[in-house]
Amino acid sequence: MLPKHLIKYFLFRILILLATIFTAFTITFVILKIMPIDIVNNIIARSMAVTGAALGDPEAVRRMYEIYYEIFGLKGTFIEQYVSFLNRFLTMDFGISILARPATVQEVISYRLPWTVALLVFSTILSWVIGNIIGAVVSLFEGSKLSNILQSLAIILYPIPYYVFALVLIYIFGYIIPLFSLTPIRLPSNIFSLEFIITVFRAMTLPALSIIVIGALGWWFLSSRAMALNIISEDFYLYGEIRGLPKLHLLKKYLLKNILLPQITALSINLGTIFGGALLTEILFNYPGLGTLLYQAVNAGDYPLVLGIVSMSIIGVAVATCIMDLLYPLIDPRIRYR
Amino acid sequence: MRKNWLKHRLSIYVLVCNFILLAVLTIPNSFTVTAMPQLPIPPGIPRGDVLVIENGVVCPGGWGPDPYQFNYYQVGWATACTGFLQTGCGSPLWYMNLTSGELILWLTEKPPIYSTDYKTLWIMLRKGISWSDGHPFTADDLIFTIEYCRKYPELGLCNVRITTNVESVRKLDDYTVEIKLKEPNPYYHYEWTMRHYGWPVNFYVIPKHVFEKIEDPVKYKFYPPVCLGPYKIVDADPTGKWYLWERLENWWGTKLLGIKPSPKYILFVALGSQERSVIAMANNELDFTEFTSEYVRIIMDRNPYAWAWNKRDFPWAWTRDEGTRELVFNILKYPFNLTEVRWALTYAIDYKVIFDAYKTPDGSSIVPNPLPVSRFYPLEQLYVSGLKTELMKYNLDTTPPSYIQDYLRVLGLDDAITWYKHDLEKAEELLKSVGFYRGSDGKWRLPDGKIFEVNLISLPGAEFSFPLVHIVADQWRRFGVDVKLEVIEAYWDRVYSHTWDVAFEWPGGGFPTLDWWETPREWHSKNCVPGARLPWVGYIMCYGLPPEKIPEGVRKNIEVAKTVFPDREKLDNLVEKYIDTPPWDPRIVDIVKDLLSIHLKYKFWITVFSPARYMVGNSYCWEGWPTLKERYAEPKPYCSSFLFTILGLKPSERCPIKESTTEPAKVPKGLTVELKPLVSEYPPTVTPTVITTPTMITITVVEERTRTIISTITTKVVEEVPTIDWTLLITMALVTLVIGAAGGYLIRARKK
Amino acid sequence: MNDEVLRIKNLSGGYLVKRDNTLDYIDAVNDVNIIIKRDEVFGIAGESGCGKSTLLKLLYGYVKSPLIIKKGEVLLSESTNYYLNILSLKNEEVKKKIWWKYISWIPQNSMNVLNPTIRIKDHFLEILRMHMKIERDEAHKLIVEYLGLLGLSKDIVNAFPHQLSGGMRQRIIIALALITRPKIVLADEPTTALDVVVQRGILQWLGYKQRELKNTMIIVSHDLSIHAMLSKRIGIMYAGKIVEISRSENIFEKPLHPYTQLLLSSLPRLGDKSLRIGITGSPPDLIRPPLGCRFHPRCPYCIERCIIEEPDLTEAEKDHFIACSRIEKR
Repeated sequence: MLPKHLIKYFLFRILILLATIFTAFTITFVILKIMPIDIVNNIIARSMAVTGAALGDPEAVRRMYEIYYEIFGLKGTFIEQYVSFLNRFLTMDFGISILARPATVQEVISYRLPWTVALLVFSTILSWVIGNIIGAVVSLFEGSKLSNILQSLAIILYPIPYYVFALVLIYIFGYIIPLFSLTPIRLPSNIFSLEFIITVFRAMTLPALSIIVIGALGWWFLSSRAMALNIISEDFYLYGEIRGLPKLHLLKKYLLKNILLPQITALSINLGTIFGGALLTEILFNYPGLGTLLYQAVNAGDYPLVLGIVSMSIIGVAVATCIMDLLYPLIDPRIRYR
Repeated sequence: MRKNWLKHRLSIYVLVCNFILLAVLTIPNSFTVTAMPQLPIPPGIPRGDVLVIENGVVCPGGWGPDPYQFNYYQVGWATACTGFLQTGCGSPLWYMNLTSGELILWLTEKPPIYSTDYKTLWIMLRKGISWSDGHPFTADDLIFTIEYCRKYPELGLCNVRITTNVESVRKLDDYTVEIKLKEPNPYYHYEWTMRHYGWPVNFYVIPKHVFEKIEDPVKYKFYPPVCLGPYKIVDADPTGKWYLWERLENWWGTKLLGIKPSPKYILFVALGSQERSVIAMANNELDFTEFTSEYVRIIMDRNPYAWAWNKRDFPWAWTRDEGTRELVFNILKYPFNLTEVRWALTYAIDYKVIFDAYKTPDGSSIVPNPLPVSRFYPLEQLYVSGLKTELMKYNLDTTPPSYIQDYLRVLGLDDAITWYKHDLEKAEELLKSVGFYRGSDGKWRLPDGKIFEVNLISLPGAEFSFPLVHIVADQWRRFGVDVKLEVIEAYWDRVYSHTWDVAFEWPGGGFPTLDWWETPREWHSKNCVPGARLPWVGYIMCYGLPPEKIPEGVRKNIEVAKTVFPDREKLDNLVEKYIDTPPWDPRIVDIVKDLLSIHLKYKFWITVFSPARYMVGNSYCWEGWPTLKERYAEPKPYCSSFLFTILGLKPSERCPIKESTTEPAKVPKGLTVELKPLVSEYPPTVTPTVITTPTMITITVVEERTRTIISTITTKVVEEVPTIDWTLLITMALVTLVIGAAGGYLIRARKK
Repeated sequence: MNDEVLRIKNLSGGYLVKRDNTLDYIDAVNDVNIIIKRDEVFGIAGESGCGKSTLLKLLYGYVKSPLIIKKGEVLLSESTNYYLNILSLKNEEVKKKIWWKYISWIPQNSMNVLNPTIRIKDHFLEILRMHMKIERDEAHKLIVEYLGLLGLSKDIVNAFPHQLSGGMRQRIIIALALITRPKIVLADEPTTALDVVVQRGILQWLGYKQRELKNTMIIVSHDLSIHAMLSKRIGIMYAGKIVEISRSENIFEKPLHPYTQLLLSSLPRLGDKSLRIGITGSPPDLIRPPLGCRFHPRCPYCIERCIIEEPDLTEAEKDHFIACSRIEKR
């Protein structure tokens, strides 16, 4: 049985989690409402613009606007709308997406969610792992040729915006050496077939690569190397060295373990934010993720959909940080007895 | 020496990387691309069996939120992304042949039959049509469609259109339907004629036997759809990026009309950006799409099989778009309520600059257009050439450059009419006449001393606003007018806030018919009532009315200026006459001319051009695309009219085929009729009735004579596509080298 | 079996530092000659910066840039008549053969040398598994036993370093240094950061362990009271040079070198209330040390010869070596 103060800590932390989510949700709702985008105008104007058609009888037009406002739940006072949305939020049912009537927001998001999650979780974690390991290893060989080369490479790559790198990838692998087709893919219905894996691989490789290379060799590498260098100058590391411990052991138990805490914090926050999608990456690679969906929704003023995606992001980050807080004691023994 | 190199390690790395990047980005692709196309089709289907179409213009990045939404009578609009329209799955009663203006009898056996007072419309449906699931098509379906829209106000647009126009609908027999209209309306058959786009311009018929079984038909998504066209849907991408259609072997059109389309499969894809479209077409993974003027030169260079409007020759541009491009004034706002100001701003624009800016290497460009009517037969002859004397009164340019005139001649248009003269003196005169004056800094000022500022808004990128709005802003600035140019994503909200001065829009245009579609209807002042939401094409209906009559929505946001419109009553009368005159009646010609004259006099809109669009077909796998010389259809891939392009294709020998037919489908002669619907005194029943075609005054219109003209201008040289500029590349590399070395040296010096 | 365990012969070493395009050499250890016997506690005393820690590093064979060896040998007596020069071995060999087998090291600032993210028992496991093949459970038992022998409770085994007090950690470090029963234990300022009470306990314990295991301890400290308590023989170091070596009684009662005398006179003694005088001046810059005797700028007895000649370490009396030009004359 866990000690009493730990249980108190858990409960308190979860309470904070709920409060965070609630506050973030409220702020998002308020901002969306304040935005001067009128989705009804958008829908009608867009359909008219494409066709160049007039609507005719102004009375009928006015009636139509009223009907639309009612359908989309845009009627009612601010508080009424807020309460009804809060209700929906608690049941995770964000209602009907305005852009995609009559599909519900859940449905719409569920088409794209697996893509985003798969790509971003995969590339974030991979870039984190690779970046940290390379950074720590390089710090061990500080001063050597390899270390200098990797550092130079990292410094060169870090400021390159990932979308520029993405364009280079497209150009090289889609055009010059056409390894990857740029047309959208077709997922075979059998999830457990080799074909499925190959198709998914084909779709995800380039976007993942653009994120991983820049991420790993950029931020994660530089930060982990800096922290590792710090640790190498610490007394306990020296003690490890003078006892003649093998370098691999030092790498694992002394370097990596000690840089783990801040890096895991950063990773968890990063993972929490994946629900926002990676807009530019998705546009460049024509990748069906949440980023472009969010963009279309914001543009059109489809706020149930925006709220849905943003809520997922809120919950993602809040839960990730909460889990991190709860896991800290396990990772770093120094925090155990607060 | 070696030691020095080691010192500058970092800068050397930087330089090497830079150089590699430069080289990679500029060296031309020397690989002949023969990669296997990797299309999202089931395995086993050869490339030659699939026609790949892209709709980048209207659905960039795919049809977003819900790709399985095929019930477009709900609040949706991007029907084009899925192929629902282009394959004829959602069929109208009639199509319009956009090259000739004739009606095509599709689901009908006869053209629309009006009663003499134009309050009743009789529709005679074709017998023997069946839906893609085998169920026969009858009058029940048409009636169900109308009732469906009428019953549910939640359907919005669909409901409004039906309830505004239709009084009642009645079934006379299994193949005859009678629609009683609320008001006499000889234009009503346009609601059921697909001209270019489809819904939400025109209705299509939905199957009763499917919808009546659904509990909540308003929320029904109608996937997979039951179709009337020659294709049925096979598969759709859950993220909305592609849709795969397969030919129906037992289609009614094959049985009744002998039409069998050639492609076995059609794949509609969304690639996301122009670069990807270029790459896809260069790899022969794409058969048809539209390119912007920047990218068309790349694809014409890369793929020798790419065909623009005149295959590989001049002109590449397709200029038969049914919309023209205008700069719309906010005429309720001071000083744009003054006609003089509007004309002054018109004369301050030099259209030659615009023409040159949109030019592609072959020499084709936009079509300068002084009036808001499309420049093709018969509108060109009737209204553009027909109003030449009026245009001369308003300072038409009498000495246009010869290359623009050549261009117009090639297109079969009147080469004497280009645009207004770039007359800065006249513009000054006009501004001074309303009390404007130039300040000491040369900028124009309003009579009260404030700087004359124009707030110009446009959508980003689409609809050819780029670079037009920048050029216009620049020219107005040179003239001394302060321009605040805003390119806004949330464009419609800005328009509806009424707080702009000039907006880039496309309210003008027309079809190859005598009438000028629905545009004049809005101009009637009865549309300007308090509480009305003014449509997007400007405020002509409110011009000349006292401010109390202006809707509060507008008055809330801007200060409504006093507008003086002596021709208000005249315009209203003209509009009323227009609405009452059938669109096939030659008397409408004079009415439209008068309307246009008024519009010209008050310059509510500055029509700038008819756009040049680059529709490129890849003849590597599929041949028979409509071209300038074989113009049997209009190539708009996101329009329902594209069905006829599909019917005109046949496979080339280059791609392996299995089930596509080798000959294009031919639309039989009897399918198209002249434009004129019929007028009858009695409803068509089983007992024979007398159907009279009214005697009309015939107007002889000169047909375009394109063939002879082209043969004399075949010597037009196609501009060379620029290859790499080696000097530039080397200079850039050297400069980077120097900068890198200097940087490295400085860093080193700093370190010490 | 001779009673020598370590012979330091003419050892010179220092640090190469880059400063404004030039390479400076910090002469931290200069021509040191010491013979260290078995079963004794040898103390090296001197003020901060005199090179004591550097000397330890050199003895240990932990020569890592920017530390370099200028000349000399550190001869380890492996068996009768066979000496191994630690400095001649390559890094990997030193790690395997010498460290924690013959020599172990209790570093300075011992309270912070434990890895905060692994448990105490893991620290022991690291050492054990490096030097012998042993299963985890067996090793665990061994550790518990060992700690018990040392008088440390077995709850510590699973604890993390931050859960223990400073004194406990110090004891763990000492325990770690002793677990493989090395012949020589180097202790660098073993109790500097602890309070006096704990200090005394640790020192007593240290002395007790040495008597029990009969190994050699080389204790480096600037605190002469520690040497008074533990060291059998003391070497005084100043500015990189050894100036006096003798038994501790001699050092404390009859210091011969002026530096030692002044050092001792600045120590507070029980019962003596007179004012203490410090030594004037400050230790020299080791990049450009003074010519001749390095102490001469501060020596009250400096004569002309001191400025010119560097004195060698000579045996002035029985088992009492000093490096001073004046005494030599005697």
